[in-house]
Amino acid sequence: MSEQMQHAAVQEGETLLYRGLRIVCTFSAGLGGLTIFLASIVVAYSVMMRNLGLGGVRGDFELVELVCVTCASLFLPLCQLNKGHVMVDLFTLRLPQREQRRIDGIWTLCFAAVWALLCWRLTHGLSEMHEYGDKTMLLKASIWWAFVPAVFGTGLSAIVALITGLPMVSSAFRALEAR
Amino acid sequence: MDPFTIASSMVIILLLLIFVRMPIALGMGLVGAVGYSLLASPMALFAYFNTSWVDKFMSYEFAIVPLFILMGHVATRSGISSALFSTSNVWIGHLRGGLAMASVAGCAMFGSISGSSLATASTMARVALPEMRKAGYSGAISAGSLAAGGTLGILIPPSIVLIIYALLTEQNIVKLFLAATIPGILAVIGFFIAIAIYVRLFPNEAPTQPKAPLSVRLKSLGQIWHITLIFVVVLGGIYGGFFTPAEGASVGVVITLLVGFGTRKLNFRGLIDCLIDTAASSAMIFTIVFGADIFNVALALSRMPIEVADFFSGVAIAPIWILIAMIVFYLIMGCVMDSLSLILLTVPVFFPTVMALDFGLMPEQQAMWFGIITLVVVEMGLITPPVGMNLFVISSMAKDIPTSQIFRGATPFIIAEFCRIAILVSFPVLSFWLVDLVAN
Repeated sequence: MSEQMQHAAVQEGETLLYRGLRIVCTFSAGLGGLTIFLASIVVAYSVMMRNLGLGGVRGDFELVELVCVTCASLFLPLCQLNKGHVMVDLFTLRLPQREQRRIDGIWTLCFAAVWALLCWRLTHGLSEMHEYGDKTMLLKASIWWAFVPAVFGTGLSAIVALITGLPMVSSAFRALEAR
Repeated sequence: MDPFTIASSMVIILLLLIFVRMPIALGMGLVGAVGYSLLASPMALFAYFNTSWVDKFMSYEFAIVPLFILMGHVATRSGISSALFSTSNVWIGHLRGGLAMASVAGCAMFGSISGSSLATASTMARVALPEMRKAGYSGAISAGSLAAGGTLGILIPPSIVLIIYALLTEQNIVKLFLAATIPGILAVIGFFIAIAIYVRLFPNEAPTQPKAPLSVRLKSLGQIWHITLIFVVVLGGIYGGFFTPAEGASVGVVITLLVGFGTRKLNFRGLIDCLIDTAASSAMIFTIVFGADIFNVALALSRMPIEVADFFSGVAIAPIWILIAMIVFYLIMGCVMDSLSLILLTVPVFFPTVMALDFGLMPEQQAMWFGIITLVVVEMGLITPPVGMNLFVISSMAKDIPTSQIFRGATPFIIAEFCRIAILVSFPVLSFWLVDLVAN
């Protein structure tokens, strides 16, 4: 079965750590949403002016590109926290709940490793781009700026996946999850 | 190991991992990364990871996805759906099964500004389901028509899956949107016929309604000014060449927002919720696209897609049978996987194969035809048991209708879909006639 894993509701007795993570991830997602929203307003304005023959906003094309990678990165941690990644559970429905949760925990820890690897490599990408000093054509925005939200988003996702994955794999880490 | 063996092992291992609950994005990314390291080297993989995330998503084309998703979320919260249903209702509600037809028509109109099936099904169900139940419609026909109507969200442009297909196969998004129009209308006609036949077989499941007088009907048209405005400006602007799809989506966000604020259905708090909803639905897509990208780069390194295409263009089987085999594969996998993952996973291999076959069409026509057929076939997975997502959406909203009733209600629509697939396969021209017409 393909379905999004259940959106974790705010739970009673949630630890301070979890609540903190939820706030940071939601804030990150909201900020990402805000950038794409503001970009849509700028682009709509630009289109209107252009079609009225008054000339569009200079570099709106580049703005959209930068905003796209920014929101893609900032959206990640909340999706990781809510276990929003699509999976197929049709073939494991007969397993006991505890086993299903443990398997999901293993994959969540794999996610943590992959996000961490990606974050680490992106810091290299960031410093490379910083050295090259490439800028976009019209807005003169430095390309390395685009790496900053990417490093943040993948790094935070790695932390989220680690902290949510551990209690799923073993009850020894239950204290992370609930008071 | 030779590259072809590595690539085939990648596919098999990925399927096994997906079947044991591994998130599909993670599976494609991990298996792809291992394959990449084996086919090139671990250092090459690291170098690829340095910039691939930013390279992939610092993209004007890709920005269309979150923009259309945002527009859909704003539309969902703007109270447009109730006007759509009540207007369709006064026009066709008096026919036999008319309320179910009005639900389908409402879904089709909502689908013309939303690119998501689940959103379309749930938004329209919130309005139409109580009305149908109140009028004495059975659970089966109410749930079936809304689940099936929801699939129009993905088929009728804008469509997120079609955008991803266009990006994967480097096709023109505007042309693909146009190409999907006639198949979309066919779907509505097919669903109407399915309802008409069903209510004649089971007349007591859908009592007839009184006919609304002409004055009421004409007056009701005024209620749907907003969707007409959004549709004409956004898609009219895109098709008319006034702006790009990304610009169209931006304009759509702004107009839909003004409508929401203007009708007082949306407030500041609602807007914040829209932004966060957009984050949740887009992040899933971004991650899966990124995972698929690693997987497909590794497959491309192995040259497997080209070899498969060469093989099939050389064998003595009529091309149509290869296409039918693909359709059957999609139908089976569509029962298990979601449409986006399925397309990201298969199109990089299937597309070169299809393009190597000779159907007597121009390459661009063939690409559009295959895109539309793929979309229609995978979208059918949304209403087929055991795991049609639209059925579950309706089921979660209508707790009083047993699942068996919902499955029964979906059956006539599944039959209609089979007929439509047969028509689209038999008459490729339906998938590109409109594009050719506009181009001339």
